[in-house]
Amino acid sequence: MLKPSSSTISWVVFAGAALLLSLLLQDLYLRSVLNLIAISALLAVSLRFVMLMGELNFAIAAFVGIGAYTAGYLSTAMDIPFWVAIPIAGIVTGIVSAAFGAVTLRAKGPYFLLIGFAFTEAIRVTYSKVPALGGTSGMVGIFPPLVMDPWMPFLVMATVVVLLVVFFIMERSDFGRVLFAIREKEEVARSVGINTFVYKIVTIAFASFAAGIAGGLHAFVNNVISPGDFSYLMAAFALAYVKVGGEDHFAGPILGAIFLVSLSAYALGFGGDEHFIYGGAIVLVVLLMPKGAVGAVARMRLRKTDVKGGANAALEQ
Amino acid sequence: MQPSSNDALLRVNGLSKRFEGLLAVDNLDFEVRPGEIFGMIGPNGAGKSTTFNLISGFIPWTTGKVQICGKTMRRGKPLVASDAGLVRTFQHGSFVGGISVRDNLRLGTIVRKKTAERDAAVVEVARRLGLSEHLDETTSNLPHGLQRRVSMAIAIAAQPRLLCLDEPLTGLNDTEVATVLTVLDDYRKTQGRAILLVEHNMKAVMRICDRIPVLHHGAHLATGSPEDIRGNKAVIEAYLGESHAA
Ligand SMILES: Nc1ncnc2c1ncn2[C@@H]1O[C@H](COP(=O)(O)OP(=O)(O)O)[C@@H](O)[C@H]1O
Ligand SMILES: [Mg+2]
Repeated sequence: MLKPSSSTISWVVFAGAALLLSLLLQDLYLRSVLNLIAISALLAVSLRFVMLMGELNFAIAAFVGIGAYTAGYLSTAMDIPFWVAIPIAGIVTGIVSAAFGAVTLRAKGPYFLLIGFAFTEAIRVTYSKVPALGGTSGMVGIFPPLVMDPWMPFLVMATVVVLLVVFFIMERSDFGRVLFAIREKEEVARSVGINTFVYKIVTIAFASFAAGIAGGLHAFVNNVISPGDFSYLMAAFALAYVKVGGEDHFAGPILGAIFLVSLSAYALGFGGDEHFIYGGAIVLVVLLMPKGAVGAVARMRLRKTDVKGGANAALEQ
Repeated sequence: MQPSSNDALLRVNGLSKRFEGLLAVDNLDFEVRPGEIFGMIGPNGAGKSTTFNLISGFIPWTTGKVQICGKTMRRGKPLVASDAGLVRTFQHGSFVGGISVRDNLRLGTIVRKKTAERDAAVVEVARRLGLSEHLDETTSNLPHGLQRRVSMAIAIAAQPRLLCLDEPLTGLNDTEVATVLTVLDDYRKTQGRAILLVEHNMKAVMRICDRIPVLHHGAHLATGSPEDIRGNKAVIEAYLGESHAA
């Protein structure tokens, strides 16, 4: 492991740079790309958090949608301001996901993944059938107050940074240890009296709270949402960020999101297709760097370092 | 049948488990009392691990009644058993391989210790089981004997009133066995605790156990002191063989 101090310092520098960038960027297109990177990183970290306990949360797209629609509805139909709508979006999403988890996580097996997939599509169809939610054309006019507009990239980034810090702290605490145990050998945790079911529900609820917040932010920065935004492809993209960055390390999904969102934003300028880019990136990464970018860097460090030296340290990180 | 006492940590009555056509546990009655090491023996397939699974709630029994520290258990509810004071290990590795020894021991402390007390509890359990130098190693990289001790240490870190260990000495060398036996002996001497042990190492069982029940084809064959068991004809035939009789 790196010394906590040096890794903490790099995190703080990194977060500070991201926040500064969100304040300084003036170009509208670049601002929208930065928002998308921040929101995507939050989704990817949320997805990976649930992966810590060995479950692939394909319902994440539904939860982002529920957050976005909650925030959109509160804002457009009820005139509830941005800073109230966003937390409510997160809380509503967290509650829905807890109920979803209580049903799907009772039994071992692929239920959570499969039902998550179906749930995403069912919820998406629901939006398009409900006139109050704008039907197939979606919701328009989801605006933050005018005075906030210049600050949106900063608010998005700051919200994401705060949530990422909470994810990080949870992973490094005893909570995270229990999640690792659940993934690898749940019965050991249960034998010493740990209520693993409660841990699973809290995990999905917190991950989805963050996904709901991400959805709410997405609604307010795009001003428009439609059912098609929240198809299972969103979950597939989040999985691409995790896999490309590397799922063994907290930084993996963040780097994956930065890389893939930037790449597709760049390629879109040349008429590229983002599905194609993501698909290609996943294939390349799985073939060339099975542990993702972070894993590849760790292995390179390993080769450079003297075997007696910090070799394992680099990998263990 | 043993004489009944009111303060038994574990009381089992008419416990049976049927898997399809196989009666893996057949109408067991026994109790484990404070201060004792109760050493269950029997040939492979006798139903020892299944008995562990039943009393710890990991699988539901077919019939029977189980009480832990006076509380009546519900079938197939591991949390009820652990809340009542029973913690068990699993025969085939009771640890999480992908995390450090320290993190494994930490798991044992989560339910009963406050966050601030957990570090010290982990260090203490590691010291007693000779794991101090290995705390920061990844558990799956350790040799088998150390992994066994990690399994046991997780359970001990949870400080149960009834510690149930399924073959904790398998693959341990003599020094390691001696270390573990000292730890077990200390553990049972702590007020209000007892150990339920399943073990094939007969020398160790005979040395440390107070009472030894013998299972055969799921059923109770005999219970007695190490001397009684060593001299019991039926037990020798079913399990010990002539070599142990001397
Ligand atoms: N889950 C199960 N399903 C079917 N049969 C089982 C199961 N678990 C154990 N058995 C059978 O029950 C018998 C007792 O097994 P076990 O309790 O593991 O014995 P021991 O621990 O004494 O070696 C064996 O014949 C075993 O094959
Ligand atoms: Mg067994």
